[in-house]
Amino acid sequence: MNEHNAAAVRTEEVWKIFEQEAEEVQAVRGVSLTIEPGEFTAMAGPSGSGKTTLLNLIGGLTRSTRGGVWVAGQDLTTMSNRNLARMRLDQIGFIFQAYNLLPVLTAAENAEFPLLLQGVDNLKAWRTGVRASCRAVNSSESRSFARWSASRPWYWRMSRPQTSTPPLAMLFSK
Amino acid sequence: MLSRETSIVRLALRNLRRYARRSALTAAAMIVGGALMIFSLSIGDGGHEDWIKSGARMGSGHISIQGPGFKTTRKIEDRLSSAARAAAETALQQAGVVEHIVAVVPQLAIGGLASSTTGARPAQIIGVDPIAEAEFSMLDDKLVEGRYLEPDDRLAAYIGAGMLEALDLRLGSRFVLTAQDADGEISGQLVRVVGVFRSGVPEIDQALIHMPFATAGSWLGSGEDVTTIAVLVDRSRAVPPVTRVLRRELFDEIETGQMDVLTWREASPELDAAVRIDDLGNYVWQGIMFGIIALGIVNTVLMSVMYRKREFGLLQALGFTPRQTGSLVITEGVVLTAISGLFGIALGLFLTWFFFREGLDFSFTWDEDWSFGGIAVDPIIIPMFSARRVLQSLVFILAIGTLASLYPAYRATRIDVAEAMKFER
Repeated sequence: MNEHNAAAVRTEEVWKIFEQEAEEVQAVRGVSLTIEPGEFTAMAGPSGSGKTTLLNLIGGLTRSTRGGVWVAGQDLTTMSNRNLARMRLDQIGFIFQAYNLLPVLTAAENAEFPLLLQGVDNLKAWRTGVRASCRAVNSSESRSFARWSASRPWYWRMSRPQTSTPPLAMLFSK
Repeated sequence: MLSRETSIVRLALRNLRRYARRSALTAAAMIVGGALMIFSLSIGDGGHEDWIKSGARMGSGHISIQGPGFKTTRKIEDRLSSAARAAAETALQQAGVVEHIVAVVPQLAIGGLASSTTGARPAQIIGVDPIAEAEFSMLDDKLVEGRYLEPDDRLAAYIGAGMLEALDLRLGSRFVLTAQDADGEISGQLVRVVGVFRSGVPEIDQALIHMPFATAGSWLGSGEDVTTIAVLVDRSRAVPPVTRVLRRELFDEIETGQMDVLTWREASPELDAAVRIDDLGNYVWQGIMFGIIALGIVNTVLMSVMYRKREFGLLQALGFTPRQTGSLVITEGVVLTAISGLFGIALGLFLTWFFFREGLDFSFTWDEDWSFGGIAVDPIIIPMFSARRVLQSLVFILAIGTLASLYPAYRATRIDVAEAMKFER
């Protein structure tokens, strides 16, 4: 297993430059890092220092201007959009700054959505768990997201990434 | 709970419900369009059916079986042989034909000259079986003076008002018909006016003469031979399948040049052109109407995509591929247009049936004497409904919905996920 495959996340001299009208904005400048499986890593910095942009690069939500990004040994810079989507689905868990719930789905459906996309056939066990969790927070799984997010935002932001198969990387932006 | 197979459709349905006002506006355009489409198609088809029926009953039927050259020469030497006539009559009894037949009449039709003491005019002379022809033709209903031919008539003629005036004839007047007989000789026949008709078509009123078949056969020396077997079927849509069966059954006779089986389109190219032109006008009008509706749908769906940029970004962040995102947008467009199109078609059928099933009266724009393509146009149009038209309309509406969703779907696939996640509406 080479170095890239061994690490959960690895970046090498990764840059992200946004072309603005008058000037270019270097949001990420030559960052190199390695995160091993099971490792907990936190990034700290002032607002606008590029923390979220770097997480977006690692999560395959945006592409680097130059440099390399590997997740589970896969080079994100050369991946097709389709494969990036598949990787986000199967190997990365996101906890977003905002609630980012799908407004037309119920709370439980929002939580199970990644499983649906993964094509998990038997959702029975999961749904039993959802009902139990709902009882635990004194609410109903069929409630709309709006009522849920108003009462238990943190719970539901956490629930979605945890429902899918154990991710290789869990990204949390705050 | 959702399931994987139906998740895109369910998401689409819920999105349509969530953005109810926007969906309702788009649906309203499609419902009105669908209703107008069905109304105009039903009225158009009803009008065309009437034209075709009128043309068939004034001439040689929906289908005519003739000698191969008769259509252009109108000469008695191009009549059907008795063997060919027998084969045709057998073919007309076959399954696939007989159940559609309303009337079959033998005709001995030739071009000739009608002369009186005042002058002469070219005439289209048809020897007919009076009883069978009265069932088949509309001419006996157009009587203005005297009576139609009767079985015992011998030297009788039923002529148009135009011919009557041109030859300065009156009811009971005698005049002479001249034509080439079966031996190629010019032969004359004295006849007497027993009835006068006014069809509303000047060309017919000035030229057409009906006379007893037996008299014509004896005059022209053709005996029981006919030039045309005219067939009237129950509806014009039965013409293609019935013609196919007849052509199959009479394959040998057609191949050996003994006869032709002609549809009304082939026998009356002017009427065919009139129907096609009217259809084309109808389609152009519908094309413009649905073009405008499609632009409205593109605008609404595109606005919806822009408004929901963050939502589409989130879907892709969670693992939706760009293709699935585009599919969701197209599904929303297709589902909305399909549902509203169905409502529009149902509304159109109901309104057309409820208000106009007895006919839509256009007599305020044209009178009963208006004619074109050799037929008199009835100012009352009775709509015609058909499952084929409903299906065509639905397919057309679905195609419009799909096409109108393509560009918004393309835009949805091109969303920059990270940018979209920042997007605040």
